[in-house]
Amino acid sequence: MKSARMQTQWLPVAIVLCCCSMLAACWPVVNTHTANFADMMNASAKELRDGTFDSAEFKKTVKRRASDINHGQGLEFRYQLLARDAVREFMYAVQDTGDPEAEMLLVDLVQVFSKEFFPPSVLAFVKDKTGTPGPKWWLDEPVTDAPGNGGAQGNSPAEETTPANQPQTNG
Amino acid sequence: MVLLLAGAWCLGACSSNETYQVKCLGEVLELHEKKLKNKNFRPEAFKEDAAPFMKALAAKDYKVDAKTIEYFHARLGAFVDAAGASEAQHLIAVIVRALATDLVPEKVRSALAGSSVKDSDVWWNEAEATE
Repeated sequence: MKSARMQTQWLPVAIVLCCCSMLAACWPVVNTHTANFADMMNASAKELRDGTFDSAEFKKTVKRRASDINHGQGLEFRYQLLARDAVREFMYAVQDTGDPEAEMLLVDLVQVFSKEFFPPSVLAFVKDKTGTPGPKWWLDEPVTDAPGNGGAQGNSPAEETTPANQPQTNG
Repeated sequence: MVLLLAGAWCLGACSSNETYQVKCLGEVLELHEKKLKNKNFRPEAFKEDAAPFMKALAAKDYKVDAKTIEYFHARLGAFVDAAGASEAQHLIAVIVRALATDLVPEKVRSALAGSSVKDSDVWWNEAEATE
């Protein structure tokens, strides 16, 4: 009898908790993170043109955004479009300024984020170009490239075995 | 809650692929309309963003719900207003010529009546560099 009353008391709490967890699961946080990523890329493009671009800060922010975005689900097209546009603006800034370090970082980005963030013109631009030499700065644990294996097109064994911050390729 | 979610899922599933494509094209128009207003419109970027949706929508007959049509009309009208007599006006005239009649309001059609569009102006059938 006491057990039945306990169950009745806990039922509304369980329902509320269940509803809250479902709402949290449905909340498209990835959209907010992607909008922030787009803002960051637009700001970086402007900094490149102004000559105030800070590559260390860029790497730090990209790493943080990657862990937010790459594990999220439910990305709406509106935000995907914003990200693609911002990446493209960054590419235009790289082309206009000819900054070699920024160019390598753009090549790296293709390995960090899903291909859906990169319009065809950006993919064409980074094709056959080499990314930042040395350890892959976007991974949690620094992984050194095998000799002769650098750039966006390479798939090192380290990439295949390290799950953290890996790009989600969608077709 | 479960019924609500099931209802939302059903609504989403019933929404046609063309409806989704029209909505996405509307989003593309909205983004580039802002760029026109900010004077940083780039024709090649607009063509790149619109191409996949025009490939799906051009010269086809399909049904899109009234709400989506209303949204698209608003986006198209705003883009045409922002385009003025620039290269963007010619690009949107090429798009308008290829879209289903329902998707283009009379006001937009008459605003673009002066633009001469040739078959060779269509850009979305060109092979994409990297996809």
